[in-house]
Amino acid sequence: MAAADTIEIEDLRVTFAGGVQAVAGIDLTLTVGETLGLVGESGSGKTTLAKALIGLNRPTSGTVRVGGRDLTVLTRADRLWLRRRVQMIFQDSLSSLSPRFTVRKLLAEPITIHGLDKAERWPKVLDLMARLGLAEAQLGKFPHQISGGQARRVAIARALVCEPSFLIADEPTAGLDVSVQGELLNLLADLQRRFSLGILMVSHNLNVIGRVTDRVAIMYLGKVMEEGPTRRVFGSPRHPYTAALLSANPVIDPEHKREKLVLAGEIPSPSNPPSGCRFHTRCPRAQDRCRREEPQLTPAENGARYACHFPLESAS
Amino acid sequence: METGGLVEIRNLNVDFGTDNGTVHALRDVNLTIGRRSTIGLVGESGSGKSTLALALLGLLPENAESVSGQITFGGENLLALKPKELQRLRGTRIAMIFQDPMTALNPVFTLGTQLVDAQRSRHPRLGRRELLARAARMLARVGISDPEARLSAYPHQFSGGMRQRVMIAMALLCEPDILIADEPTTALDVTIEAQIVRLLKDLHAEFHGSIVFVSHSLGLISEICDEVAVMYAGKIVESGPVKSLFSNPSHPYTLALLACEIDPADEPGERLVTIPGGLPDLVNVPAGCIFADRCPSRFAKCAEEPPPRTVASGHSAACWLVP
Repeated sequence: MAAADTIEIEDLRVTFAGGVQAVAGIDLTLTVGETLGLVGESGSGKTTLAKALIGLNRPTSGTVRVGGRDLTVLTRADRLWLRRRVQMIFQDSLSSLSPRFTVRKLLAEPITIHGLDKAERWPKVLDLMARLGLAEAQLGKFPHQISGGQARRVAIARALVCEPSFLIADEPTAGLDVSVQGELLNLLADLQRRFSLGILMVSHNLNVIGRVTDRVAIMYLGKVMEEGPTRRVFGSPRHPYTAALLSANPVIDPEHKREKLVLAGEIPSPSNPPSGCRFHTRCPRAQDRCRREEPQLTPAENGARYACHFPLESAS
Repeated sequence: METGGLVEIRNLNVDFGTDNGTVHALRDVNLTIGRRSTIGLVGESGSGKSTLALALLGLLPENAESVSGQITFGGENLLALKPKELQRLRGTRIAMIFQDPMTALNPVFTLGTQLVDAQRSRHPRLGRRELLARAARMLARVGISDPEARLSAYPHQFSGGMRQRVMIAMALLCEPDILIADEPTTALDVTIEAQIVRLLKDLHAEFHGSIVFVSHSLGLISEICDEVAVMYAGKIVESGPVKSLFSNPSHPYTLALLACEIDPADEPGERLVTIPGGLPDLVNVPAGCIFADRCPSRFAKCAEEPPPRTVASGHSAACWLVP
């Protein structure tokens, strides 16, 4: 795979004031045309990582390369270049849209910023709106005059106006009813095919991640615990944390048969992570070695990688 | 020995006055809450599930311009009670856990003060010292370590999951007959949600009351409840024992909701199922079946409103397709 078609993250660390290690050494690659899921509890560093990919969080160390170019050394002019390649839709779409701009202005602004030919681009914008199910009548409205679902679509349209290669979607289905959640995900799949987008989807909804992503990375306290092809990781998790997350996920169980594996305690503070394996304080399999020695990501036979001294048996 | 349910809701109608007209938020709702049962109210935004929960507490917002029907609880019709009399029931016989544990606690009082105040009407004769001791025991019971020291802490010193445990402790200190939990885990991570669900299940085995569990998640409802009522646009469209309803879902809306649940076994490339269309206008409520315009199985008869029809013992669905 040519470097031009990837976002490569190498040993990325983001530390905030007060010594909070939100991202504590992560290696991941996102390629155009694929969807990578990022899963983890609040405080695991998912959003910090996502924001680092569009230059909104400066890495403390490590690199992020978009199309081969290192984001840590970008100049102001380079940032414009970056924005054409990587776009983000934020968790709270409504507050990500300027309340003083009409939908028309919101969608036209990226074209002006990037100095593109408006006459040539505008028909594509209208086409994008049609695909997203946004009527042209919405163009004259302000964000407060449209519904939450429409605001989400406008945010997606705005992100895609300049045809980026990568889309970072932070909790795109949070707060949506199940009857419309599928619609939004179908739409993202269509747009992905149309523009061969590489999508990074941040979500705590394991059903959504399990269904729409090609690969998944499970994060805990700023580190990747397990990573690999989604079906394999979800079908046969090797890391106890992945297994615990999947077990906690509610499924339809009217006979009350399923015995859940319920983790004790809560995610520790990222400013003072536990020694050794970060998960050992909550891990049902933890032993002495886990307290002393931090496990490194090891390749598994199924194409996944996991960081655990005492992994679960492979189901296959 | 009293017979029948703990709470009988009959022909409940709630209208809200808005700038766009009168919204008929609940229409002809009938529901029985059994003793010591856990009943789930499930539905999407705008289905009326929270309105129904608030009606049980007598906490409907001020723009509820007309409330009719009956909510019988302990021989009294809650809808006929004066605000003072309702106030007497809240915190003694009915308690509630709200969705957002961040805003449900008062930021400027210690937990101890709030947990003591919550018990005042239930145990008017007990002094502060005894109430604090009760509070500490209950905090320990809901899984908060070092409870005596925590009593002098403020809400901001707790995580979301811990605050929800505190809310549960506060509700149970009132020893209510009915505990209403409105989306109590929606703001929490899945691992913490699993802890809270297990806690509610364990506690339910110990306390004598019933739980009304409001949620948009069919999975969660199926895991925690014995009974379930599926709501759509202000009506209960299907209700019954969890086992019967999930093994034999009979209202097309219930079927559609179940179809929207993402099954991890599906192939990734397949289209996700949605329910085309949107909620009906609740100002000018259309005649006939409320789900008809989105229903894949509608036929001529649906122009008439279907009454609840029996599917199995205790299980009914308001659909003409039920024989």
